[in-house]
Formats: sequence, structure tokens, C-alpha cells
Amino acid sequence: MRILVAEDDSRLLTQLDALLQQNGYSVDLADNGEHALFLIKEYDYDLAIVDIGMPKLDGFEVIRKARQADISCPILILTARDRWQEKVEGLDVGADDYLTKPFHNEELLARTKALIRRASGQANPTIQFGPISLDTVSEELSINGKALDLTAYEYKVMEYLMLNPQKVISKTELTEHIYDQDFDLDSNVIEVFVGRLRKKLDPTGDLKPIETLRGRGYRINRSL
Amino acid sequence: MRQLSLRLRSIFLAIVLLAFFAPFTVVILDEAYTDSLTEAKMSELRLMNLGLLSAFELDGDLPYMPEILYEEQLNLPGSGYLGVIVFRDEVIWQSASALEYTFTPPNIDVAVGNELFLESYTPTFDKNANFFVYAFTAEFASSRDFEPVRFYIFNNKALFEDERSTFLSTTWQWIFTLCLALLIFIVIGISLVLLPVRKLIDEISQASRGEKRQLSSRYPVEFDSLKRSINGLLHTEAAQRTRYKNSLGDLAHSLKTPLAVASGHKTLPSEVGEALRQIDNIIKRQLKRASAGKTGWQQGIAVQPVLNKLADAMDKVYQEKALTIEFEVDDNIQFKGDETDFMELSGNLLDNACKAAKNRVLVSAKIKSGWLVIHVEDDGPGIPYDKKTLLLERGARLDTYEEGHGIGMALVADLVSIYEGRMQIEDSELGGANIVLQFPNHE
Repeated sequence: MRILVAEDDSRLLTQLDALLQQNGYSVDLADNGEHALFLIKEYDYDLAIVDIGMPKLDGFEVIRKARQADISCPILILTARDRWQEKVEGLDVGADDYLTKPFHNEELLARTKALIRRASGQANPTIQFGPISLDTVSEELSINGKALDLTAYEYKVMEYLMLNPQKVISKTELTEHIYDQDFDLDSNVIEVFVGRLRKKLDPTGDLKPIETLRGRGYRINRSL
Repeated sequence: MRQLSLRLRSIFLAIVLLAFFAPFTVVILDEAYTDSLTEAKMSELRLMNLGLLSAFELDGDLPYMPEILYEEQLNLPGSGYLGVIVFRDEVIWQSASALEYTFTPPNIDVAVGNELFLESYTPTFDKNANFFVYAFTAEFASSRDFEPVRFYIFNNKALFEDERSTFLSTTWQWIFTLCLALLIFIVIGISLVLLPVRKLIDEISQASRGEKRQLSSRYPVEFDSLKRSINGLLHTEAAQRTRYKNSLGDLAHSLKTPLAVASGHKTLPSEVGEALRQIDNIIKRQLKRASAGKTGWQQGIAVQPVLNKLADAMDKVYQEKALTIEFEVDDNIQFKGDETDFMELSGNLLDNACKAAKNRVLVSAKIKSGWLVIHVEDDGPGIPYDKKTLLLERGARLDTYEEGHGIGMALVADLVSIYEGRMQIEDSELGGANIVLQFPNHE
């Protein structure tokens, strides 16, 4: 999952970067509004965490302009201004949730997960396709109630596929969403992860949980 | 000591002026009337005297006067006009009108060819009366030489005085009626003149009650600068309030980002984390308390639009709960206070209700006996009795509040107290909590 963090305080920005990376997210950073708007328009993020008080362009404007440009990724406002007027204004211009500073790291992570899940149309933290079940809170994948032992990247691939069951996901898109921006793209790595996932999920080859659409990418098998 | 009102001062001044000028006017009119009447009397008596003079003849030493005179009043006894002729210091003739009197020559000496008019004379023949006298002395040829003959006309002043006193009493009546009418006109006039002042006072009090942002009515040109000054003051006050709130917001912003950095530190000991949380709560509460408040110069704000905005926000934040947020708000209900304060109050209560609710949140607002009564209800688990008391206790330590109904409720309690309102926590028919807020002075 790729997250944009826009915050003008460099110490908080570094902290958020570390926190999100530790929790398996790919993170892009922006320390001013203009840069944040550029990134959010340029890349397809799963979530943007936007501070309101930023130089060059404040958070409200970033969100307003992003929404005007039809950017639909969920946006979490991070604000030191905790008056309802500002929260309402933020939600009104197009943000999906708000978090006031200072915040607990756990709270930020919970909101992050909830927003990403909600954006994919999943109200429930557990996503189910036939016998396959993904718990986005405990980050656990299980089949027929039995938990599977996945690496962090395998989990990310599976989570992204299951959160976006309606679309075909190219290897490039998958790579962008599970790796950091500066990662040297190698589509073979994705093929390896998908191959391993298939073996772990469907050792007998009967289930076929991940479909390959030749030349286009992968999609979760919705008829499970 | 309370000063006299402008109206009373003006009326008092008008009464003093009228009390001085009314008698003065009567005296002047009386003088003018008497002078003109006296002048006319002198002319009348002079003519009569000339009549005597022309009728008189001296034959040797024998005077001659006709039986009947041309001047009718001198022929009629009791007419008040008396004619007398004196020759060689003896009364040689008196008019038919003066038959009842016995004359001695009057001690009024007039040189030959001269006239004399006396406005007040008490003669020897009637010591109780007062007379006008006109005297003239002419020379006639007698047996000896040319000798002076004195002609006198007396006129009783009683009639004259009657006429004058009638005039005086009529004048007094008219002057008094005029003064009364003038006083009524002055009172009406003062009310008309003071009408813009009354309008200005009304408009200022409307602004003070928050029903108006600026003075907008048209006033006489003399009030233009006053109106401008008051509007300037109102504008400055509103701008200052906004600036103050913004400054406090900026202060919160600059304090909270470092706090976020500190609390997000990985190696932070838990007791330091707790202390930071307390610091955050104190900043939050005190800054909001400082920026909140009614000034008495605020406009009322419509309740429904604010609630709509908050409900939209809640729909977004609590999307997964798919809550139904319902309103029962009477038309045109206003909160007499600051919009951000009302948003803070209702935002915190709605947020708490949405957190607690299973499916439904109900917000109602109505005016009851001059109080704005707001209910925020939910169908959640409700608030236990001991927690209710704790939440209502003012000044309770912030860190004793539970997450959810935590700092938000303390802020609500602060704001309610600033607006001299009341807060109760009851059980809702929906099954959860029913927070009741009441604010006075909402007619």
C-alpha cells in the first residue's frame, strides 16, 4: 500500500515515515502543499495523510485541488487545529477522516487501515473470498480458517489484490503499491511473489485464487 | 445621580420661557392698548372742547352759550362727559350733563392759547372719581379788554378702566391658550426631533443583542459621524474577536506539532507519554475556553445549517456504522452566540453520540419559555449514573474522563457555563444517553 504523507514539520515527517514503513507501507513524503499536490496528482496512492498548516499551499487547498482533479484516494487530515469548524471544513472540501495532533501511533495506523479498506468498498475489516479470508487488522491471511504463514511482501500483494477485486492489476501497479518509489522495478519479483502465494493458498491447484490475464496483470478470482 | 432626560429638559426650558414671556407680552400689549386709547381720548376731548369754544360768545361782559350743544354727550346727564367754562375765576357755564355737580373753578392753570391734557385728575366736585381733563384757554373781547376764558372738558375714567380691564382679561385668556398650544407643539416637536435618537438607541441595542451586525438605518446628517463611529467600533470588535481566535488557533498549532513529535517518539517512557497527553488536554481545553465566549455584541446564528454541516461530517467519519442522524429542529431557531462555539458544542456532542450509537442519533432543538433547549440522543449503551455525575462536575480532572466522552464533554461543560446555560445527562427513549443543553435569553 502506497501512502503519501504531507507534513511541514521535518521531525514529525521523519517519524511518520518510519512508523508507516515499519508497518509495511510504502511512503512518499512532501514537506509543503505544492509538492504534496504534485505527488497526489502524479501517483496513484492508497491513502494521503495531509497536514492542514503547510507552507505554499495549505492542506485544505491541496485536498480541494486534488478532488477537483478527480483524485479519489482516501485522505486523512492531520491537524493541530482541533476546532470542529476546521474539521468540518476539511471533511467538506473532500477529506475522509481527520486526526488531531498529538495522536497515538496506534490510532493513526488504525485510521490508515480503516480508510484504505473503506476506499476499496470493504466495510468489514475482514475481507472474504470463498474460503480465503484476509484480516486487515491483524494482517493475517487464512484459508478455511487456517492461518497461512506469509512474508510481508506476499501479504502486501494479496491484500492489494483482495482490496481491489474489481480490477485487473498490472505488475507495474502492484510494484508501485508495495515498494518505495525509488525501487528498481523488476516484474519478475512480482511473478515470484504471485507464484509463491498460489502455492501457499492452493497447493493442489483446484482453487485458482489468483487469475492471470495475459499481458494485462492479475485479478482475484471472485467466483471462489 | 440620574440626569434629567433630554425630553424633560426641553419641556422644562419651554415652560420657563413661556412663564417669562407670557406676562411680559401681556404687559406690553396693555401698555400699547392704553396708550392708543388715551391718545384717542385726548383727540375726542379736544374736539369737544373746540365745540364749546366755537359755541361760546361774550357780549360785553355777558357770556352766551346755546341751550343745546352739538356734542350730544354734553347734553345728557350721566354721560360721563362734563363741560365747564370759567371767566374771571368764576364758573360761568356748565354743561347739561353736569347739572348734578357744583363746580368751583378747577385749579388747573393754562396760559392763553395753550392746551392741557391730564390723564388722571380727582376734582373737588367728585372726590371719589378719577377724570381725564382737557383744558384750553382762549381770549375774548370783553367790555374792558381781551380777557382769558378757560374751557374744561372732564371725562370720567370708569368707562375707560372697564374697557381696559376687559381687554386685559381677554388678552390673558388668549395668551394662556396660546402658551398651552405652544407647549403641546413643543412636546410633539421634541418627540419628533428625538425620534432619530430613539431609533439609534434601538438599533444599538439590537446590535448589542446580536440581531444586527451594523447600524443601517438612515439618520439626520448630524448623526452621520456618530453612526460611522459606532459601525467602526462594531467592525473593530468583530475583527478583534476573529483575530484573537485565529491567534489562539495558531498558538495551538505551534504547540501541538512538537507535542506530536514528542509523543510519537519510539523510546518514550509511558509516564512521559501520559504527561504529554495531559499537557495536550490542558492546551486544548484552556485555549478553547479562552477563545470562547459571548460578548453581547454577537448575532444569533441559525442552528440548522451548523447541524447539517456536522451531520455531513459525521456521515463521512462514521461511514462504516451507517448511522441515521435525524433532526427535529424548529424553524428559524438561532443560537445567541459565536458560531465556532456552537459548532464546538454540538460537534463534540454529536461526535460522542455517533461513537456510542448503534444505528440512530437524534438531535432536537426548540425554544421553550425563553430558553433554547437542545437534545442530543443516541441508541448506544447510555452513560452509567456515576459517570453522569462525574461528567457534570465542573473542574473535574480531565484525565479522569474516559476516551469517547472525554475531553469533549469537559469542553462542552465549559462552553455551557460561559453561555450561562445548563447541562443535564438523561436517558434517551432511544436507549442511550440524552444530553440536554439549555441556554437562556432566547426569546
